[in-house]
This record gives sequence, C-alpha cells and structure tokens, in this order.
Amino acid sequence: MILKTCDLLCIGGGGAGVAAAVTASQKGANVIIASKEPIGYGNTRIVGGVMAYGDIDRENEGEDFLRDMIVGGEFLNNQALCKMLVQESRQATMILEGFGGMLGRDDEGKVTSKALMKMGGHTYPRTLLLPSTGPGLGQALRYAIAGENIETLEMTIVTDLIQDGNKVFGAVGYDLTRGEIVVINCRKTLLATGGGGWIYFPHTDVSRSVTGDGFTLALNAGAELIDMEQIQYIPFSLTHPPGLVGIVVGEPFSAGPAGILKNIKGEDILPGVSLKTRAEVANAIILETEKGNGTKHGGCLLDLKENKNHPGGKILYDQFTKGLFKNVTDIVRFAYGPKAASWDEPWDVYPSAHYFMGGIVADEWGRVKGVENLFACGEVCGGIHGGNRLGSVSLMEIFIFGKRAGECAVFEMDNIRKLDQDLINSYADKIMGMFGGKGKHRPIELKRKLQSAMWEFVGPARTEEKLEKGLNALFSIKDEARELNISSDKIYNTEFIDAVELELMIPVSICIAKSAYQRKESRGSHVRLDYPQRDDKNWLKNIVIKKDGRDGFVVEFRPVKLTELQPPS
Amino acid sequence: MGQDIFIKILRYNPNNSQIGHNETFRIEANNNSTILEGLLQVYEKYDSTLAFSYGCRVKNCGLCAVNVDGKPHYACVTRIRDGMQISPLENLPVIKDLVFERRIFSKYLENFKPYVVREREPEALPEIINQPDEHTQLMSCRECFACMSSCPKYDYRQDHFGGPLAFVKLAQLHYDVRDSIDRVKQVKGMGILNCSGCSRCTCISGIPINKIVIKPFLDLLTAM
Ligand SMILES: Cc1cc2nc3c(=O)[nH]c(=O)nc-3n(C[C@H](O)[C@H](O)[C@H](O)COP(=O)(O)OP(=O)(O)OC[C@H]3O[C@@H](n4cnc5c(N)ncnc54)[C@H](O)[C@@H]3O)c2cc1C
Ligand code: SF4
Ligand code: SF4
Ligand code: FES
Repeated sequence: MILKTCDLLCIGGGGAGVAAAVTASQKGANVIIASKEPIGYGNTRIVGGVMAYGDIDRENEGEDFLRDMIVGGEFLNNQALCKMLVQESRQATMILEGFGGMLGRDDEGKVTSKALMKMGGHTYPRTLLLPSTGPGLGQALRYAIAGENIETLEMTIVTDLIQDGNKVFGAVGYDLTRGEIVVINCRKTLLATGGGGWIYFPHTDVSRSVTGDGFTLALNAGAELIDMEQIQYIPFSLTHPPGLVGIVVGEPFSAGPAGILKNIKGEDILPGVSLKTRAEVANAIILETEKGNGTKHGGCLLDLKENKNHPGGKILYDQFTKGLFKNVTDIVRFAYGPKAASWDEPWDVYPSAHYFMGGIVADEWGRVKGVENLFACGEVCGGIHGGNRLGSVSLMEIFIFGKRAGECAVFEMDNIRKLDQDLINSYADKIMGMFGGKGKHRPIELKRKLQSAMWEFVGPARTEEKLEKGLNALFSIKDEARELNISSDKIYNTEFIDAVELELMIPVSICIAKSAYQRKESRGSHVRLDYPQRDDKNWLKNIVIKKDGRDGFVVEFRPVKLTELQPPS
Repeated sequence: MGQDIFIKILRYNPNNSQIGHNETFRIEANNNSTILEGLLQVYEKYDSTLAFSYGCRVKNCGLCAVNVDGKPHYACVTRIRDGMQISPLENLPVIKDLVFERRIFSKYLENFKPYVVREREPEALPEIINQPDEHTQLMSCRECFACMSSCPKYDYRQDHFGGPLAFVKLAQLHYDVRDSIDRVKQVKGMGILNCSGCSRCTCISGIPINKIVIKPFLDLLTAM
C-alpha cells in the first residue's frame, strides 16, 4: 500500500482536472492529480476541436450568448452559472494557451471575427478552432502538468472517497499497472472525472474511460445529482459497421447550408437543419425512425451533396476533406466508402450518447453542495447546460470552472485530518476482497448487459413502460454484481477494472432512469414518446436526486430560478 | 453474416510467467471488421484477462496501436484478416499482453523541460501569433509510440537514444514561436546524431517525421 498526503487531490486528468491542478499548484498548493489513464486523456483528448470564445465585434454578445445557452437548454439551465460563464468566456482561451495549447487565428495571427465560426444553436459566430484537435489539446495538458511541481498518479483508478459524515478527507485508488493500493490523504478533493457516455456503449462516441465514475463517487459521499435524464445524443453518428457504431461524424452546423436530413422515403424531415440545436436534430431523427421511416440500419439519411454547389457549403466541404475535419472524412470513408466520403452518397446517421448535461450540484466555485472539502468541475458537474449543451461550450466551461475550483480550493485550505489506520484498512480490504472473486458472473458480461439495457430502455426514445423495464433490469444487474468472477492477478487486471467501473456505473444509471421516469414531458434531449410535448406549466423544474442514507434514493423537484430569462408564455 | 477466422495474439502475463507465448483464437468477422472488434470479441467471449488498450475507436487517442504481422497499426481502423499475428509494440516495456508502460518515457522526457518555456510573458492576450504549419502538424501527434516500435535504434532501457517520438516532442517546441529554449542542443543530447536516417519510423498518423523533424534537426546540427 502506498500512502500519500497533499493539499489538493484532483481526480481525473482531462481538461477540467488539469486546469484545477495547475491553478492550485501555481498558487502554492501541494497537488496530486490521479487518473485511470495517462494525464491528458479522457474526452478532452478526442475533441473535434472547437472552443467557444465569444463574438468580438458585437456589443450585445454577453446577452446573446446567455440567451442562446438558455433557449438552447430549454430553460432548465442554472441561469446564474450561465451568466458567470458567459462573462468569463474568453478566459478559457487564455488558460489553454497559457498551458501551451493553440487556438486558430486569422491570416495575420490575430483572434478576430474572421477566425470565428458559427455552430448549431448559436445565433452568432463565436467559436474558435483548435488546429491540432484533441491530441494537440491533450499534449498541451501534459505540458502544463510537466511544467508544475505536481505529482501525477497515472493509471490509478479511484474506487472510493474517504469520508466521515459529510466530510471528505481523501480517496482510495488502485495503481493498475503497478498493482498497488494507493491511499491519498488530503485537505481538499476534487472530482473531474468527466461524463458517462460509455454507459451506452457501443451507441456512443466517448472515450472508453468515460464510465461515469465521478457521479457515483459524489453520490456515495452525499452529493446531489441534477438533470440526470438530460443526456446529449449527438445527431449525426454512424449506424454501422459494428465496430464504428456511435462514432460522431457531425453536429447540426456540419449539415451545411444546403444539406438535407431525409427519411427512407427521401422526404426532408427537418428544414433548416444546420441552424437547429443538437437536441432538435437528434429528436427529429429519433421520432422519424420510431414512425418506421428509418433505414435498414435504423437511421436517417444526411444528404450533403448539394453543398458542393453552394458557396458556403463548398467551404465546409473543403474543411471536411482537407482541413480541420479531415479525420471525420477518413472515418466516413472507412465506414461507408469513397462515395459517402465525397458527399455523393448520403450518410446513414442516428444519434449516439455524447455528453451528460446532468451531474453533480456545485456552486460557481466548484464547491459540491452538501459535502465538505469536496469540489467538482467539468462535465461531471450538472445544471449549467440544462436540456442541451451548445457545441464548443464544453471546452470553454471545463477550463473556466477548472480554474475557479482550483483557486477556491486553495483559498479554503484548512488543516489536514489524519486518517486512522482502521479506516484505511477497511477501504483497502474492500479492494483486496475483489481479487480472486469466484462468483457466477464475469464483470464484462454484466457491463454489456447494463449498457444494452440502458440503450434499449433508457436511451433516446423513452416511455414509462421502457423506463420501468430499465429500472428492473438495473436492479437485477445490481444483484448479480454481488457475485463476480475476477482473476487474482494484481498487475493490470482488466476484470478488476471492469468490476470497479460496473459498481460505479450501476447507481448513476439508476439515477438516469429514475429522473427520466419522473420527467413526464419531452424537453431538451429527454424524449418521452408518451409525453411528446414540452410542458412549461408543470415542468420548469430540475429533478435532483441523492442517496437516502440507506440503499435507496430520494428525488426532489426544484423550480428553475428564472432570474435572467423567462420562457415565452 | 460473418465467417470464422483465426488470429494469433502474443500473450504475456507478469503475474505468472516471464516469457510470452502465442494464443490462437477463433472469432467471427466480415470484410469490415476491425482488429479492435476482434480483440473485444476475444475479451467478451473467451478471456477477459486479455489486456489491450483503446479509447476513441477512431484513430484519435492513439491508445490502441499494436503490431500486426510485425508492423504497427491502430487496432481501431485496421481491418482484421485470417491468420493475423497481433503483438505488442516493440522496444517498449510490456506490462501485460498488448499493453506497455508509458511512464518510463514521460520520466525520460522530463529531463528536457517538455513544455513551452517563455522568455517573458505576453503583453496582451490573446497573443498575436503565427505558428508554422509544422507546429500544427506535430501537435496532432497521437503519442501512440508506433514510430518508437519501428526504430531499430530505440530501446527504452537505454537513455542514449531518445527515439523518434522524443524527437517529435522536442520538434513541437522547436517550431513553437513562444518557446525560448534551444531545442536543437537538447535533441543532440538525446543522441539524434546516432540516428541512421533509415526512415523506418514512419508515422502511422501521417506526420512526415523525417522531413519535418529528423532531417531539419540533423541539418541544423551538422551546420553548427
Ligand atoms: C468525440 C467527442 C468530441 C467532442 N468535441 C468537443 C469539441 O470540439 N468542443 C467542445 O467544447 N466539447 C467537445 N466534446 C465534449 C468535451 O470533450 C468534454 O465535455 C470535455 O472534454 C470534458 O472534460 P473533463 O475534463 O470534464 O472530462 P474528461 O476529459 O473526459 O476527463 C475525465 C478524466 O477522468 C478520468 N477518470 C474517470 N473516472 C476515474 C476514476 N474513477 N479514477 C481516476 N480517474 C478517472 C478519466 O480517465 C479521464 O482522464 C466532445 C466530446 C466527444 C466525446
Ligand atoms: S530514422 Fe532514425 S529515428 Fe527513425 S527509425 Fe531510423 S534510426 Fe530510428
Ligand atoms: S509521430 Fe506518429 S507514429 Fe510517432 S507517436 Fe506520434 S502519431 Fe504515433
Ligand atoms: S482507439 Fe483511439 S486510436 Fe484507436
């Protein structure tokens, strides 16, 4: 067993975790960053490469950006957080470039409106490109950590937070490649574990590590989760072949000015598709295929051909075939062949799980509500995007909130509470007890079972009946998970990794299903076939869920505070 | 539907043996199936102790590179065929089966300040900068270690030859207009003068390593 102490432990090595760690370290804190992958991975590593900045020449940008977020999020957003985020929007670029990252410029090397693009749901261009996409961003994060005096625990999966009552004093993890338990005793702990799209594998485009661990770690510590039913399904994802199902190939803007979204009969199902939000486009595809108008792969057809005869469309075509999004074209060619890659044949598309709008309830400094010494930032937090996240806003958000959380954690440092040996041993015993388990079920078998139940019953097209089935399936998986079969190997034990992730996936999945069951309307990315309308009269409420102290959950409905913007009545 | 094919995987388990051995698996595949799908099938159907890594499934994260019949490929975007031999990348410390340890390389790199070191802070933000195209290209390196696997001179156990990825990492900073350190001097310290110029370090992500990294560095060093 390895024992460590520090001021701040950051769990998760994506953009949010690194921003918090670097900020705190620069302010003099003694920081450890732990991640179950190398630092600089997670979804941050695989972004398409767009980050919101804000428009440059327009006076009302602040208000417009705020309105786009809230209208796009269908009024579920935490408006106070949105306002703060929009006010600081440009900071994100400065933070990332301070790390050694690079955002796109105009021909003279300046950040001007010429360097901005407009994405789906944004009423103005306000987004910068990352010329080296996700890998460039990931490497900048690695630069930033190497440039500070921060201890890294890579390949270390955190299994539990250490707590006493509602106070957190550190975390327990397992170094996967060295095969050792790691106990970190710290003043402040920060969760930056990202979203949970892998809960829907293979119908997702997220990184394999994004299994939603942090939601459950927070729940177990007594935190609240908000809007868990709001899962962004990115509209244009591959429907086949099996190895590439779920992979994103575009968002609304990439339909281009002349692109058409069609059903199998060739009918245009959503005129003006490129200007819609992700939720609107995804929902159109979901509803169309539910009517039986889908392709044999269950998708709709994105026909981009006409863009090649359209001036604006032509620019987009060049970006996809030669420019920033060339990687996407390579994948389309690999999956659908050369004619699809040259836009001469339509693409078969269906939404896939991309982003979690819901998550931990934390304030504007990342302080987790209801749990002392615990912070959170990045995609693991919930509430700010409401029912739909606009493209390019996530990267902006993770750096801004990462920095704020890092600053606040340092500011609030108090004395470290030393852990007593019995407590440490109890956590360590729990981990060691998993190795060599002789139960009936292989962890991967249950993981796959959970994933397919979540897609089928708690996926893009929901009904009360399906959600009930989903919950039943989750409860039976929870029972089966008491009997796992795990090899006793200590070094790089993949069954152990699966088992830890499975255990963390179950509670968060139950929260998603329960929240989706409760919301009896369709709003944002939450589509209820049995309640197809948005219902502002009854449902301008956030659904908040937490543990009830035993094995169950309590659900609460909180009216949204409409401090900045009201929905049209 | 698919048909049955056989693949061979080089296994190594540090928990109970010191030598690797080949294991043959029968899997179902069609013309479109990828190596990653094959590995996942083995994992799900037969043996969930098989260690391999992957992240994005679309040649983006660089985590899935393996040797296929002796040459490095991304498992996620390489079609699987009957009789393929899959083994871990070469010249790297294998942890288990197809997974290798990356931390040793990171530690080595730490000797060279692997981050942008500025002479002075920029006056106004965001800065006015024109980065050369080479910088953009090099920053898109997947850090997949495929080039390291192909290099006949690289061996992780020895520090006298940094290897192509180390040269790429310094070249990123060399081309970065914000960086102030003499990266040419550093790359000499990494032993680049011992590079034979054999160009076997082909980048599987399309970066022209020889043209924008090795040759310019060697030219600068021999001109000195
Ligand atoms: C394909 C794709 C493209 C995208 N493109 C864009 C884009 O262009 N622009 C944009 O704004 N947004 C984009 N997004 C969304 C954006 O990538 C994410 O929302 C954002 O990167 C999340 O950052 P994060 O730091 O919160 O989490 P992540 O970057 O996902 O990092 C989480 C980290 O936590 C670690 N971790 C998780 N659980 C544990 C545990 N138990 N123990 C230890 N470590 C753990 C993981 O290993 C990982 O390193 C995209 C998402 C996807 C999937
Ligand atoms: S050119 Fe140099 S670095 Fe590349 S493979 Fe040959 S010896 Fe190695
Ligand atoms: S240079 Fe190419 S082959 Fe080498 S690590 Fe980078 S992406 Fe991989
Ligand atoms: S899985 Fe990411 S490169 Fe293959």
